[in-house]
Amino acid sequence: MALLRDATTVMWKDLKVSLRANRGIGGVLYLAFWALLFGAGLPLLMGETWLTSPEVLFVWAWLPLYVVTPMLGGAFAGERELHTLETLLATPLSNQAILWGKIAAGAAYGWAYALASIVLGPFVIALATGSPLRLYRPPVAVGGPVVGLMGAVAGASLGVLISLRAGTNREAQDGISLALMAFTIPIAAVRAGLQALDVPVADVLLAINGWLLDLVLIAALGVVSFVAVRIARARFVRTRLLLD
Amino acid sequence: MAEQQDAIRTYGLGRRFGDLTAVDNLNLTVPRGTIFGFLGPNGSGKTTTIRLLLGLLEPTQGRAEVLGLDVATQADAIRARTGALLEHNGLYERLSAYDNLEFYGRIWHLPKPERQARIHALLDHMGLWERRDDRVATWSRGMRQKLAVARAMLHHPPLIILDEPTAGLDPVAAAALREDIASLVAREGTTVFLNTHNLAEAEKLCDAVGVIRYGRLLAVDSPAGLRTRRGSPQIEVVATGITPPVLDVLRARPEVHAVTLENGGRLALDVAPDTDTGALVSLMVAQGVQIEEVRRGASSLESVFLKLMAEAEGDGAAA
Repeated sequence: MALLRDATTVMWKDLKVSLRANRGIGGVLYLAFWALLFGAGLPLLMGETWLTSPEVLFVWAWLPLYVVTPMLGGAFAGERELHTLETLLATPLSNQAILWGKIAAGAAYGWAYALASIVLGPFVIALATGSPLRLYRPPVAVGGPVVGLMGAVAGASLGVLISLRAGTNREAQDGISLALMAFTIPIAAVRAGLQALDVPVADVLLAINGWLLDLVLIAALGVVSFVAVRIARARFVRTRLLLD
Repeated sequence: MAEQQDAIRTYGLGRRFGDLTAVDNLNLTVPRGTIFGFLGPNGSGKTTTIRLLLGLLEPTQGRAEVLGLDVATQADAIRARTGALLEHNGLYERLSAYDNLEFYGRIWHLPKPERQARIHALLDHMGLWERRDDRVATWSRGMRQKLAVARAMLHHPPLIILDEPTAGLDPVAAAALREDIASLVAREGTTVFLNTHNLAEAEKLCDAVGVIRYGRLLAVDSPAGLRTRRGSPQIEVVATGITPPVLDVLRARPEVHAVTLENGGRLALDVAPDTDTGALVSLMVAQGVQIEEVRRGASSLESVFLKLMAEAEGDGAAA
């Protein structure tokens, strides 16, 4: 119970710091850009496929993480750079509460974008095509929010792990970008390969049972999260954190 | 039981970083309810000592107890009972002052009504209440340091640790902060471990001071005790006509250990205990000095501190 409460406290602070960083015209435009990109831009780009293809699951799993990158970079490296880490470590907060609070903050932020995209997509398509409102197929409608959440958790866990090891915010963000590319490139390569063979990606995915695809994606993201959190917990040694 | 009366006890505490010994065989006792000043120049081991006491670094030698708890095995419990203003103030500059304190109030599990009342009382006491909703980034350094002190005291800790709280502040802001610390501590009966290299601050605030150099504790005493027991008696002379030749004559006398001429014609002579003040005054008069006032007293804390530093330099060179 204390862990949950403390992690929530850390999450509250991290979200507040991030949202405060995006105040003013520049900050609002930054948030609006990503919201429009995920909520309107991508659905318009994919058209009807947005509603019919399970490909959108991959979008909701990965793309919101690009928004969270600056926040995750600040998880530890930013605190170290701004000289707030030592004071935070001088409190009775447990290592786990700090770790989970930071992961939760990043995940909540990223998931909010995924949810925005899930909810707005059908309305944007309907408006753009002038057709009646259509919803996602059941495995996508049910699996989408969960995949989005798991993607956000996995990205946040990886981000926090990288931030823990990084000396500066910039170094952390570079590492996070590389990690995201390491996940994105294989998917893009498979996609390009299928296109080269003239096989539509949507057909391949539609041939797989939708519920099974949900489970596979959720499990894969779960494994990534689990491994990242395990390593981060092992690396979070309070008496060495100030020396890193 | 005697140990329970002490807020801090260290037993041969030490920390090395590779070849560098930051803290060396530190044996220190800080009684509860006192303000203890840890004096030393930059790089003398003060900040490392604080990190060791808070369990943020592991000692490579010896051990320490804080509030009766072992730093190696009970660091979480120590941090729960301690407030700290470390080398950097640790404030979140994008957040408001109120949100900074709200965050730490939540960390210490203060119930909401108590948290709100406490934040109000502390900000009010520090004269910061009116600007509670401003982003801390817009505040002056003095205001931020005050806020950081308020944060350290938020949860009524029995011990607060302050690392150079007035460093970089202008004299007015530093004096105001010292006053705030003194009044809060007096009101709440808190023990304070104060790292400083400001001797006037130590003299004004502290019940006892420890002097550290090269990680080694050189002396521990009250400021007055340190001046009388570790320093030489001092003769202060206010006069005109003190020329360089006069100073040379005084320096040549075997009973005079040090001669300091300050602005305004105030001359301070560190002398041997059995020095004949009258003979020195006669000597100066014979040299053409017009004396206005002569006073005998103990050394200043500054001269004791400098003497200890010089001795440590000598030991370091000999080693």
